[in-house]
Amino acid sequence: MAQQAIRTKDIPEWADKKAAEKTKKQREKGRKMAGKTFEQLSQKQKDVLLKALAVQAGLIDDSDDE
Amino acid sequence: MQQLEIKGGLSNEVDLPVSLAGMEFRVGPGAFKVGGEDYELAEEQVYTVEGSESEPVFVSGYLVKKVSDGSVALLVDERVFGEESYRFEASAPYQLLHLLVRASVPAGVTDLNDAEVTVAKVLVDDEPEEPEE
Repeated sequence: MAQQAIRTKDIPEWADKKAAEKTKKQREKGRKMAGKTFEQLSQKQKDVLLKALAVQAGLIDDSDDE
Repeated sequence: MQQLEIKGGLSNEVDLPVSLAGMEFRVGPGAFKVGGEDYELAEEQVYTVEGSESEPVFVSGYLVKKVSDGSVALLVDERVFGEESYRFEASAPYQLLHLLVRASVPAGVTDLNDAEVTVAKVLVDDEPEEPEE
């Protein structure tokens, strides 16, 4: 019987590292938006913000992003 | 599926069978040689590519040696475009022996025959012929 190959996403050290990088990127996105009014944001930033609010409100599921 | 043939001198030889079926690829089993050392992939290895409906996915299948017990396995890194690929750092639990399979899978693909899959074989160079006198 064939053996399942090892997946890099199952290596704990690598999974932790990628999760930390994702958090860092999200913080950087947040910093770029800080201090601006909604109208001053770019369309992409508005989309990101609206999606984050929708996830927080439980209106959409972001599990596909993981 | 494309075959990339690399000349490995006399100390490298990797010619394991690779097959595709749907989103699955299978490797080995078999013996191979890297850096003058003999290795054995004892069991056939299988991996099912998850793919993505919306983004292209890149897959790398490495032959690796597990540092803790010296056993050989297939380690697969699957990532969407823009994500960092796996790095074999000194502290990593697996040591890279050979990058055997690379696949570029467009968004929405459900069969690897519709993707770009390359298998890198390492073949032993022919010994140079003795010059005739």
